[in-house]
Amino acid sequence: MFVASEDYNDVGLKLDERLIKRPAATFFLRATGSAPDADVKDGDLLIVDRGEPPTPGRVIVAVVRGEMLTQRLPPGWREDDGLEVWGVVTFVVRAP
Amino acid sequence: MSVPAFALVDCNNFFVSCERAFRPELESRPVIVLSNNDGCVISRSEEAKALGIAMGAPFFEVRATVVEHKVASISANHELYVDMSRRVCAVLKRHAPVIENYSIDESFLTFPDDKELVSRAHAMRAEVRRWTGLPVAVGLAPTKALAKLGSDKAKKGSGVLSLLDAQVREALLNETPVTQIWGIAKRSALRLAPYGVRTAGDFTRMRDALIQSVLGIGGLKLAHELRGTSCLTLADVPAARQSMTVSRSFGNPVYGLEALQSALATFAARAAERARRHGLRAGELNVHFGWREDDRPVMDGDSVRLSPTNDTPTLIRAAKSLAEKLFVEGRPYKKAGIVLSNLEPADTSQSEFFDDGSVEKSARLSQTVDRLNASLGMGALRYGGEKSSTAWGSRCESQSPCWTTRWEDLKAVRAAM
Repeated sequence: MFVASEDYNDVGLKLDERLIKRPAATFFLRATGSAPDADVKDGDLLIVDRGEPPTPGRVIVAVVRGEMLTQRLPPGWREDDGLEVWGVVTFVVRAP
Repeated sequence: MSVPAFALVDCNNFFVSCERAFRPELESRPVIVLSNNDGCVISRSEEAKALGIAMGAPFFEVRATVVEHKVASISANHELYVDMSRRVCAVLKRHAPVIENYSIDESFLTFPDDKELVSRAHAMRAEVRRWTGLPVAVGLAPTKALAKLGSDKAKKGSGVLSLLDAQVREALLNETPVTQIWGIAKRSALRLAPYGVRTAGDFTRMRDALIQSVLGIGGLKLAHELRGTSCLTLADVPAARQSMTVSRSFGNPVYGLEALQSALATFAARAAERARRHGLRAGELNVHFGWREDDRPVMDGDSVRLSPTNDTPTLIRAAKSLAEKLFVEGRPYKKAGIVLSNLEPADTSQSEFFDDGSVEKSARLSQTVDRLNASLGMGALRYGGEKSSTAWGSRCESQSPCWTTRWEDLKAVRAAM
């Protein structure tokens, strides 16, 4: 059977497809300092999706007194808690 | 209800909002964004508008206000703004299949059907806000001109204004000064004044023949649009602006031709950059000078027709040669400026008589210079003839990092324990 190689030009795994659900809403940020509770370490590349709904237990970027911080939402968190959620951290990229 | 309806989505204070999306500490503070070349105000937060800072004002004119009220003044970062604009359009496309990017911060669109347009506009607006952090206003109307008016007015209200209802429309037109209408410049308004036209409503009630004799066919089209009869489709891309002006008053009189030419070269470079940013080319360039004679202000100017272009060196050459023609030895010049007119979209020009490949090459050079200027800070690269340090120039503040387009510029967020 003959198979034209052009048919397979687009095969292969693209990391963007795996890590970015909403390109228009996804931003890359860099973590400074560590937060073991959020599994975030100094220098980590954070993939943040602003379109992802925040839910308790998720790691998020919040705006606290004008500063952007990353933290984990506590179990009892509710949308009307007053914490301003900037986006949800969907993946953390780090060299081992 | 007439169908199909147009929506105009307009980003509020776009450049300032882009900065605030990554610098939440700027929220509720007065903020202005300054152009790279000459430090003029090109975007203002509501707080900055309330302080009386005018659009287009050179920085030196507003410096006292900036210092007194701790206004954050930021040099424009077009790389960031273009990326954010692309994101906004991507969100809009989720809601409406056909969109026309009218300018970096405005898009026209039509919804596939006319069901519950207002609530859909609200949903779209909320999603742009959530996904990109940018506030937008939406105008809904049976025509583009009315949609534009709707979005202007929506900014003051809930963010969505529908002019689909004829009575709402009429009431709004009757309270809107004709000068606030899209495409009615001050000069057109002056020509309408003798006919008792003060509001947009007055304008729509003029007789067609009279409108055409005063403002031409363009004016008549506009009147139809305001009456609710659609003349402009999404396929028609009217020039985002009728003309672009860059002019300055000098602190001290300027007597030398060389100094005037160098000022004009800078203005031409800035206008060319602006034209390219809006995807436009100019078919005409005007140079004008102002001075005082017997304590009266006097102006002189001249224009030259161009094979439509937004190429910096071409526009600088044209401006300099007009300046030479106009220049009179010994005159205490107090003001100089250039106007680009006969603007048309850059990709639809039919008249390229002299295309020997150099046009394309020059366009690429211009773009490269714009990019480098955007990344290296104002006027880092200049064409010969553009002045490097001047008495009439002003100063640039710091530029934001390219948070969304460069790995080395990523926004840092502190991990909170």
